[in-house]
Amino acid sequence: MKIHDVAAAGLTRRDLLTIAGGVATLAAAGKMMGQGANPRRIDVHHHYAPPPEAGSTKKGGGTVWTPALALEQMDKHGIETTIFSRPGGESEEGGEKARAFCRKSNEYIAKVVSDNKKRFGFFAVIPYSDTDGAMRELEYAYETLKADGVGLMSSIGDKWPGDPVFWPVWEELNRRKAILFQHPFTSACCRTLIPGGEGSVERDFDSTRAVTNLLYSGTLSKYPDIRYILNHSGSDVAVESGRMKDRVPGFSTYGGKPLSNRDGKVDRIPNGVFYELRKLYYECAHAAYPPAIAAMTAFAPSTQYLFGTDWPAEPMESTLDELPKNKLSPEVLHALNRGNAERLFPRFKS
Amino acid sequence: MTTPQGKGDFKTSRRELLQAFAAAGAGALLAGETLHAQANQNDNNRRIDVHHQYVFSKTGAYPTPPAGWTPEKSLEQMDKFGIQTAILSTAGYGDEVYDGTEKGNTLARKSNEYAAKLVDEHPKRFGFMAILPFGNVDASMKEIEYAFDKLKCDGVGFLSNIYDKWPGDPVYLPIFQELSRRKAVTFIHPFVPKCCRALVKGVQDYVVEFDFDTTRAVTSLLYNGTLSKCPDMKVIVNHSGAAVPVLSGRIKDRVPGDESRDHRETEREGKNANIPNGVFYELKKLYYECAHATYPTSFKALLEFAPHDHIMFGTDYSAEPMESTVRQWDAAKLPAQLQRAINRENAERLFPKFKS
Repeated sequence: MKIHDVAAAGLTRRDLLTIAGGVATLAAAGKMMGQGANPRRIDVHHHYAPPPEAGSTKKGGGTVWTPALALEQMDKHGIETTIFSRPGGESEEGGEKARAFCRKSNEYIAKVVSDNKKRFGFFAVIPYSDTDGAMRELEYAYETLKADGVGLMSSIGDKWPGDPVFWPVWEELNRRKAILFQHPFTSACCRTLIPGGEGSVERDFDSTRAVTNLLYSGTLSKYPDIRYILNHSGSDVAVESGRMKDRVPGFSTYGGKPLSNRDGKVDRIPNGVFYELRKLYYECAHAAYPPAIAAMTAFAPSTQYLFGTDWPAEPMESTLDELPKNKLSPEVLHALNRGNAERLFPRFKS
Repeated sequence: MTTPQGKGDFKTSRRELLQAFAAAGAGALLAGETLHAQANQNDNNRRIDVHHQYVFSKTGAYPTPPAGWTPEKSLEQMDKFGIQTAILSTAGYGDEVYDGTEKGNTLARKSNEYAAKLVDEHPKRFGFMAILPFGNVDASMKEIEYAFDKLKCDGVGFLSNIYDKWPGDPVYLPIFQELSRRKAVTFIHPFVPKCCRALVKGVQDYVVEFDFDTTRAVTSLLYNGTLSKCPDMKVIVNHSGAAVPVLSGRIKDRVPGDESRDHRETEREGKNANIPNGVFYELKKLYYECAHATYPTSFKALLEFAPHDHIMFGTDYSAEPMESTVRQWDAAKLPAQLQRAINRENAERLFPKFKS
């Protein structure tokens, strides 16, 4: 059975690993087994801010960010490498201002990274809704700044990432086999619906909407070489995956109709829905609580799990205190902490 | 008929079985059974379905369950899938009942009287959740009295979005306080609010927005303090809790007023003036029904989060074919005791009228 079928069939995590073959070797896992062994995590969800803005983070807590503070947190929590990102509305405000924001961010973080290549990497910021600007920044980020990947927000202006207007940029990202990190950015529809809603639930809704859009528009199928990282253990994607499959465009059981498309295969999703969703990567920042991990591990193969913290928006303990409660096997834990990220970012392999 | 032999698919028709073999190769194992055989198995017999829609009048701007529904169709489906009792409710009106007009109030009354009549005609097979004209608080109080005391309703159903507000909006608090006073059972139906209709090109509302709004409704009731202020009201959340189980940690950690976000020192229980007992306390008091959410992901997340005696069976028939829920049931391979609890026993405690 293919690993994807295995995951669907409800086998245990241990069974998955026996079949998977894409996970850390026993020797590497052995490194993990000793009490107090450094897990040497690779954190793919961590936000930086260049110095002038360091005192005013958009998110709560008002934590200042500096490379030194980042290293301090990393050393404290067994994180060997961090891939930085900088999601925010400024990159999509259009015009020269947005292009300058992206360029300034990327040049800043590229310098920080080049001062400490083993410990740091970064996802570039590009202005997706400005195709020329995006293409230019993409080339500069990869060729000159040596970006490890590209950031993406769950909503871009009044659109979601699968909108065909973004396809020229997707084409280039696909050509480069880019690694994309999707971060929540609540669309204007939903920022002030209920008190406390935006910071708690709306972001995960928007992240899930983005994936549904990418899937149904055919973007995921059309650009299969992109490696796509979802935040928060996939937000609500794992839980909604069955509905996304059974209600694929043109087919729906809503209204009492019988299920007529078992795999969610349509023209734009020729390999079926679960195939596409299981190709994605799932990083566990602030979603290491057992229900979220239960959903993720019930759906995605262990080759797809990644580690993240969402620092400084969240204390690292939000993730790290919860992760052990899931009692993941040492092999799966190593894959999540480091093994899978080493495959995505081979320059950190060691 | 054989019980599930292994970790294969959960097909229930012969054609689907053959497809499963073809798709998964020789290793695939048969787990499905005929529906009739399933209904005869003890563990899946005599279910109580707490999410079951009747159709009184197909009106409204928003899509509703299909026209042509009859009580007989429900009974036929119930017999097929081992459901002894369905607690009827309706989401069919969208906002029409909630607009605060005389017309809306009357529609609620007529709908409740119709449901009560169905229950009278089939006392062991049906119960019902009344609908209230939330837009008019006085009319709602009157309807509560009428529905509980005269019509003998089994509880109250409401939409996740009530006339463009969410249920935790302070204007609705008196209604929930009265329901708490009566120790009433309530049920949240999914609904797609105005903000989020036809939102994403190529993605129909009914794919993911229902579960988002159910989750929003629960968060609204929680953060606004309605749950804490109405502690004796029981709330049933649809679709295995929608996104509540997987987002429960963030709902706790991002409770309004907690700007420190210190995970260690404050123990982060999500306590504030509106939630004195903390977030998990309130969310784990809720009840959860599994209609159209017995997929491994939703089911496992729910089982990981909610107390197992708070989980009940539901189908969302007639808005959804029963197969959507039952199809996944066997693959979950729940222990027999838990199956019985979810199928029937937990609901018997909420609806003692149907205790056998």
